[in-house]
Amino acid sequence: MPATEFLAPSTLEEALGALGGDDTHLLGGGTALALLLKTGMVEAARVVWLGRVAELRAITELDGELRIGAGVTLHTLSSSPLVRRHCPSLARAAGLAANIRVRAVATLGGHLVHADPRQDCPPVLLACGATVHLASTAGERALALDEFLVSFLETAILPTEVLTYVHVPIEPGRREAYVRFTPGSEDDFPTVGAAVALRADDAGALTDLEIGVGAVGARATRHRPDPALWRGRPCTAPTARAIGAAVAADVAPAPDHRRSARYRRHVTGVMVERALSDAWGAAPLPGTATDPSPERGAGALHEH
Amino acid sequence: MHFRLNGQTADVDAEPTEPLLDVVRRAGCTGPKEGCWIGVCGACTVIVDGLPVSACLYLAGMAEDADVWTVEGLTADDPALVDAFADAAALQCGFCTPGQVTTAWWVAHRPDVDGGPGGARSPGGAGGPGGDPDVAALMAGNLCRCTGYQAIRAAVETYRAGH
Ligand SMILES: Cc1cc2nc3c(=O)[nH]c(=O)nc-3n(C[C@H](O)[C@H](O)[C@H](O)COP(=O)(O)OP(=O)(O)OC[C@H]3O[C@@H](n4cnc5c(N)ncnc54)[C@H](O)[C@@H]3O)c2cc1C
Ligand code: FES
Ligand code: FES
Repeated sequence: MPATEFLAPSTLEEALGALGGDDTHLLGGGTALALLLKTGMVEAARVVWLGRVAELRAITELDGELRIGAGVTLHTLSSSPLVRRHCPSLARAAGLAANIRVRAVATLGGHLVHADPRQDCPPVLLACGATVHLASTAGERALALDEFLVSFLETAILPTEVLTYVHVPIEPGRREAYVRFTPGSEDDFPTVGAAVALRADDAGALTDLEIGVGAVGARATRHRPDPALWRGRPCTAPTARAIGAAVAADVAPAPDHRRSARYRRHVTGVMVERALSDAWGAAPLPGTATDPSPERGAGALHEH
Repeated sequence: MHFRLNGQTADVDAEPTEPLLDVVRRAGCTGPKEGCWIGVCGACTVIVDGLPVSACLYLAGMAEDADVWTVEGLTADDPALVDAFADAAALQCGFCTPGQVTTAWWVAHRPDVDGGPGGARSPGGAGGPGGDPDVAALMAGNLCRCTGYQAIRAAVETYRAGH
């Protein structure tokens, strides 16, 4: 096999110009691509590394949105004061993913384009209404993340496109949370990840609710449970349980060698309930006993 | 390729798409080991520009002009790092130890970690009130098949306390 050409452009324009040929692959941090190259699952004639494109490594606040460059690493995302202030659940998800060695190099762009359904950031970005920006020599387009994610390791990106930025709306008053369940070691992929973004009015009644779920189906999914379950109510424990049950009924769990579909569906409901509890406030949900009920304890989550 | 290895200029023959692990081992730094080959175990940990990476997944081309440190350079620079592991008897076969030691260096020297105060792995979570970064959470991902983790944890805590 001829040696692979390795390009490290310093501008987006140069990077776009290098795309389009056969077996040309963009490289973010390489934590996914390196493995595919090593195993021979991907053959590359040319690798275009985005790590030197400075503009893609910045996080800025722009017109009421967080604009996160595709080259920002998960480590930077988790420690960024801007992200912690305006989208704390994203900082949290990025900081929980994998181990520090992966977070230090894995980029948000690579994360989203790789589209492994078990990844931690997509559920949060779905719940918070993120948009993905794509560029090619022919122009630019923006897609809601929900349209960008297609299926297992599959997205709407074209071979001539670079994912440039992820935009996350900044919404004062939004309360958000991300929780993941990792029955293996802490640095393992989650069995279920659940993100919640909600808003309440001055009277303490829910006005908006968005939920993202990862690791359950072929892709991370966005859920908007029937407003009859929650609109105009405080997020009490029974309400949270009803919402959790609605999302659990809504997911399409893919059984794999690790967990059965029934188990994943059950854990989805529990994790959505916990994320709602976290998002609603640091204090326990109104009506929740301070000692964990059996449903809320990890002891109830054994795989059968 | 050209980079800095343990503080010295290094010019070596390397394919840009080969793992950095192979490059540093060929350059004589055989502390980093190949364990899992897939980024999970941490035996291959090296420091690139201040952060630990899995050298088994890090493409050499990305290290062009970078500042790379392996266990050899870190411990020559600061023998207390070795002493902490020896005193705590934090190793048995020693295969994982170069990686543990390398990550321990980062735990002690980097306050900007995502397990740091207010970080995702601290008690308060991201944006929360924070707390003491927990050694176990920061070291998560450096696996040891022999000793159990208590002695390793003690070694890292001792070393960090001295910094
Ligand atoms: C040991 C291990 C444990 C892990 N555990 C977790 C976990 O717990 N949670 C979790 O969320 N994830 C986990 N991951 C997955 C990790 O999140 C992804 O591997 C990582 O986010 C991919 O980012 P990257 O920059 O390294 O991608 P790369 O490997 O560089 O690229 C991945 C894909 O995206 C393409 N690409 C990259 N950047 C762009 C761009 N800007 N535009 C267009 N295409 C692009 C590449 O061509 C390639 O197809 C784990 C990975 C490993 C190795
Ligand atoms: S050999 Fe690199 S992480 Fe295991
Ligand atoms: S000492 Fe043997 S693997 Fe850790």
